[in-house]
Amino acid sequence: MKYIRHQECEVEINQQKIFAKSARLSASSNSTEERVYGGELRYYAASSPLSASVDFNYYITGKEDFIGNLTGDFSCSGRFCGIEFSGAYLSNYSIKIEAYKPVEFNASFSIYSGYRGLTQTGSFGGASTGLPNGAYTELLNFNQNSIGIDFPQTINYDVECERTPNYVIGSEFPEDVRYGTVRRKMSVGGENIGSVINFSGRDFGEITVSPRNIDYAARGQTLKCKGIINSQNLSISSNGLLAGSVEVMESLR
Amino acid sequence: MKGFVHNAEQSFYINGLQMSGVSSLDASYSIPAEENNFLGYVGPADLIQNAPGVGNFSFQRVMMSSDEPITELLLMEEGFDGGVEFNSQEINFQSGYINSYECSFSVDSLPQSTVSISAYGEVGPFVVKQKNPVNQRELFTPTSSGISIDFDGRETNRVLSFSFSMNLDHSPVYKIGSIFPCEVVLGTPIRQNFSIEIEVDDYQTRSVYDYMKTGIHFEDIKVILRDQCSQDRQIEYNFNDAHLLSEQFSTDADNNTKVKLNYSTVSRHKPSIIYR
Repeated sequence: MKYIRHQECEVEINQQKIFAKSARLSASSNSTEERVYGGELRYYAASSPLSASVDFNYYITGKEDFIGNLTGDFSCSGRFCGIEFSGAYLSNYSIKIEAYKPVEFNASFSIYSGYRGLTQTGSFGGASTGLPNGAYTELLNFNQNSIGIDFPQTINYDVECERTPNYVIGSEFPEDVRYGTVRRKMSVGGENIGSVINFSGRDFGEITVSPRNIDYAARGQTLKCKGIINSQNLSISSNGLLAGSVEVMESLR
Repeated sequence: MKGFVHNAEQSFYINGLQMSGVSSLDASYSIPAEENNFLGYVGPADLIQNAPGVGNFSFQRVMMSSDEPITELLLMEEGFDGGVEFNSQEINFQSGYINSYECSFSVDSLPQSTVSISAYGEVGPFVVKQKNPVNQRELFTPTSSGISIDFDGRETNRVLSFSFSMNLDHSPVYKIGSIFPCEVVLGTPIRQNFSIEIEVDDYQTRSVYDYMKTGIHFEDIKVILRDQCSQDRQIEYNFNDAHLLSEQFSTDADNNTKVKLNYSTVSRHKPSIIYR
C-alpha cells in the first residue's frame, strides 16, 4: 500500500466534510501485565475500557460551524481517512483567534463505539474562500471597563463537555454515555488586565466575539461567555511587552 | 518613448520633504500567505493571508544636503508618511518607521546614506502624503582633512573615512478586529555602529597598540565632519562609551599604513548628531 497524501485523506463528521488542517485518531487498550507469584508473565488484561478519540483542527467557511452545535447530549458519527466511527461525543471544542491569522477551530471527540474499516483515500472539492480572520473579527463589548483590555491580541474560546460512559458487565461498549457538566471559558490576551481579581472571586465578565471574514461577513456562531473572572495574569520578559490575560468561565450545565 | 520613466520625473518624499540626491530607490509590499491545503481537499488551490502586509521602502542618497531631516525621524514614536512619484503616478505609504540608517563619509568625495523604511498600514496610490514646498539645497562635502576624530582627549584629522549605521527594531502590534497596528513599539537599547579609517602616524600607532594590548577600549568619541566650502558648517557625532570591537591594520609599499577601527555603542536615546 502506498502512502496516503494529505489531499487524499478526508475527515468528516455527520457526513459533512471538514476543512481540516491536521487530524489524529488514537486508541488505547489500557492493558497491564498480569504476573504469577515468582514473576512469570501470565497474560495481559485491560484495566479499563478501550478509549478512543479523534481530534482535528480546522477552518470554516460557512455562517455556522455545525460542530459547535454538537456540545449537547447526542452522539455523532464520522470518518477519518476511510475509517468509520460512530457513538462519538464532542468532548472539547475550542476556537483560537489571533490578530491577522485565520480563525482556527479545534474539536475533540471521544469515541465509545469503536471504529471499523481500513484506511481509504477520498477527496472533496468546493470553494474554500471566505475564512474568518482575526483582523476582521468583531469584538462586541470589549473595552477597558468590561474586560480591562483595549488591545486584545489573542482570544481562546473553549467548551468542555463532560462525558461519562456507563459500562455493564459483559459488554465491550458502554450502554449509554452520560452527559455531565458543560463549561465554557474565554481567555483574552492583550496589553493589560482589569482591576486585579478580588479575593471573593466574584468578579463577573462578559465577552462577545463574532469571527468575520475579509468582507466582514459573520463566520461561525457568535461566541459568548458571561461568567466569573476565573484568572488574571500579567507577564513580561526582557525585550518584550507586558502581556496580560483574563479568563472568564461560565458553567452552562 | 512609451514606458520610459526619466529620472527627472521621479521624486521621493519623507515626512513632507522631497529628498535630494536620491540615487536609487526600492519600494515593495509583501503579504504573507499560506496555501489552502486541507485534508482531502482537491478544490481550487488558493492562498490565505496569515499575517499583516508590510511595505518596505529603501533608498540611497548622495548627501547633497545634510541628513538632518532623516535622522530626526530615527526614534520617532509616531509614523511618518511619504512616497515616490513617477510619471504622474504615486506609491505612497501612510505610516513609516526607519528600521535602518547608514551613512558614510570619506575625504574629497560626496557622502552617502542608505535608509530603509518599514511601512505599516495603507500603501498605494490613494494614500495622501504631505508635500512641503521646501527643498533641500545646501551641499555638504567634507574636505580632505575635513574629518577629525577626538578621543583620549586628543584630536587628529588624519581620518580617511567614517561610517555610521544603526538598526531600529520596530515591532508593530496588531489587535484583533483591526487591520492597522494599534501601536508600533521600538525595542531598546539601540545599537549604533561606526567605523573610522585613520592614516597611522606615531601617535596613532602607539595608541592603537595600546588598545590592542588592553583588549577592549571604550571611550567617549567625537567625530567632526567639516564642509569643503564652509568650515563653519559641521556635522558632529558624539558617541558615549563606545566599545572598540575590531581593528584592521594594513600597509603597503607606497607608505599607506592604515588602521580601521570598528566601534559599537548602545543607547536608549537618539544618536547625538549635531548639524551646525
